[in-house]
Order: sequence, then structure tokens, then C-alpha cells
Amino acid sequence: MSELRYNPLLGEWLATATHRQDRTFLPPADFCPLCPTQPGSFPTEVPEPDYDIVAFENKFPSLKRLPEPPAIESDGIYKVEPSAGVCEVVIYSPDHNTSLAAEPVEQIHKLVRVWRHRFEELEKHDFVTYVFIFENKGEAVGVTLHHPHGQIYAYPLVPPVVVKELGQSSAHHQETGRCLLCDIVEKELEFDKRIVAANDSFAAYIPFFARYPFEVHISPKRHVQAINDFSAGEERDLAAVLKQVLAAFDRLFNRSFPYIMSIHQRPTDGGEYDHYHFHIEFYPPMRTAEKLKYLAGSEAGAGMFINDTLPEFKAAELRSLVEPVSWKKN
Amino acid sequence: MKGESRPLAASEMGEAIEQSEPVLEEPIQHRQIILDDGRYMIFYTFGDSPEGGEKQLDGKEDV
Repeated sequence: MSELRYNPLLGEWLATATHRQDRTFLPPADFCPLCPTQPGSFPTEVPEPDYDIVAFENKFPSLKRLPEPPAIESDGIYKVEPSAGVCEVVIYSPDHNTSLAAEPVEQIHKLVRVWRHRFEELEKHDFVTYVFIFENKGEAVGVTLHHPHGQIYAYPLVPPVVVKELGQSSAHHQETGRCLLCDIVEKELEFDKRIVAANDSFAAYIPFFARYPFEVHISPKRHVQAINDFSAGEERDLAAVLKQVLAAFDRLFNRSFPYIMSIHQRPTDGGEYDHYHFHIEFYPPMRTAEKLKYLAGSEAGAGMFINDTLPEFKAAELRSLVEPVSWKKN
Repeated sequence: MKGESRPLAASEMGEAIEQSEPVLEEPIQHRQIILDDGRYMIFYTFGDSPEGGEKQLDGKEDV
């Protein structure tokens, strides 16, 4: 059972999805549902013996193309809607033991192109207002399947974080005539000390306002709103900077580094969002090799993050671990 | 309006930046199947993708 419920205190919607309580939880590698199905072996969710990149509807979706009616009726301030939308899983590789960081840049480039295609396909749905591409990596962020994968939630509304960003971007543009994120990128490139990596098309930085010790943002230097605005060269540059940042993350503590990767782009409702600017945000929970940053009282209860570190120092630490990217010659 | 192509917004950084060239790469190859429970699954293939056979797993980079 799933439905959308409105929180009148915050003016936000949330989804309930009770069927997700019983979803597959950290299965052994022999029974991984995202691995290819080998002849004579355990049938996985992918009924083919090999693949490159696969995208499919989540077996335990929070949002559905054909949602059932809500279990409860709206009542005044308590609004309920069917949980319409689409939830997809994108498997990055048939190799159970890899990660995006460990994949060659060519595979990451393929993934960027898949993201673009999924975005273009999902935005065609009349009931989709926002296409959210993301990855949860590592048990520390609550991952239930280790096989390298990400997800796409096509929401019927603009989610709260993006609503805030749109509001801030619009206010800044009205006040200054400029794009807020363009100004942020300009400031970060000028200041330089929080830059982690950069190429012709993208800047990766721990922002001035980072909430997590190793929170990294990747922003295009050109003012674009969505992944399908990128040129072929920008897609390659995005793959390259992703490779650099992800591999540097893993070098920090010499092990696979947990994070949430969150791609922010314009809504898909046909509205005017020229003031908005595509970017990717990483929220890694590790603050040291042994310690996690938990969202405790101030963060979860009051929405005010406490960062125990300074972005300038953490950026220097991460930047020292970034290496050049090598593309295979054709 | 939904469905129309959106013009690229000009840079607001005060610098003249050339509009990007249209994407000229070949269309992405994909094949869709419908699973037993009605969900769709899409297999993406590229120039070097496996065709259901063994995939070389070299090329992974140690970090």
C-alpha cells in the first residue's frame, strides 16, 4: 500500500509505502537480485546472462504508474493523494563487486547517457513533475543491496529541497539579474581553496556552506537546467569529473566510501525555470575513517546542520587525492 | 509548455559564451522487455557492450 500524505506543518508531501518493509535486505552475493541470471542458477530480477547497463521499474516502488486508491480519505487539513509516479533502478554494471568509483570513465560516460535518456523518457509522462536521479551507496546510508546501482524517482510534484532551491534561485535572479549557482561557481573558482576538481565544463567543490565534512557539489560552468541540455563534450566532462571525485572519495580512507548522490535539475512540468542551474550534490556520512556524521537533534529536529570541519581543509584533503582521468584510445 | 524544446539560457556571468553544439553522437541503443509482473526492463547497449555473452571485467581501476 502506498499513498501521498500532506504535512500541513511544513507544507510538504511525503509518501507511505508499507510494502517496502519486506523488500530484499542485504542478500548474500550468491542471491543478489541485480546480478545477471546465469544458466542453471538462481533466477535474479534480470533475466539475461549479461548486460551493460539496465534500467527497470523497482519491484518495491514508493510511487507507481498505476497507484491504488489511498487507504485513508482526505480530511480537511489532512490531504491524501494516490502515489502516482515512477520508481526505477539503474544497474551500473553486471559486476556485483564493483562500484561507480572503480569503473572506468567510459562506463560512467555510458551511465551519463543512460541518465539523459531516462530523464527524457520519464519527463514525457503527464503525471510526472520532477525526475530525481540519485544513488544511495553503502550500508552507512541504509543501502539494502550491495550490487552497484542507482535509482530514479519520477515524482508527481516538485520535492521540498528543490522547491527551496528554486525559490532561492528565483529570488537571487530577481534581486541581481544573475543566476545564483553561476555566482556560486564563479566564487568557488575564484577562491579556489574549496575546489576539488575541475575541467573545461565542470567544477567540483566542497561548498562554502557544506553541511557534511566531505559534501561535494559538481556544477556545470555553463548555465543549464537539465541533463539533456549538455553537449556531447559536456557529457564526457561530467563522466570525467565524476570519476575523479568518486575515486578520490575511495582513496580517503582506502575503502569504498559511502555517500548519497543527488542530481538536481529543473522540474518537468513545462514551467519556466531559466533561473535554475543543474548540479549534483554528494552527502557522505563519514567524518573520519571510523566515525559517521549522524543527523541528530539540530539537523533532524531543527534543520540546522552542524559541521565539525571546515570546508577549506576538507577540500584540500580530498583534492590531494584526485588523479587525472585516462580515456581508452579507440 | 511541456513537450516543447527549451532554449538554452544565456550565461548570466557577463561573459559571452558560445552556445553548445547539438549532440551529434549516435542514438543510444536500448531494448525493452516486459517482466512477468508487468514491469518494464530496458537493456542499454553501446558499441562495446556484450551481446549476452561473457563480458570482460578487466579495466577496473584500483583506487
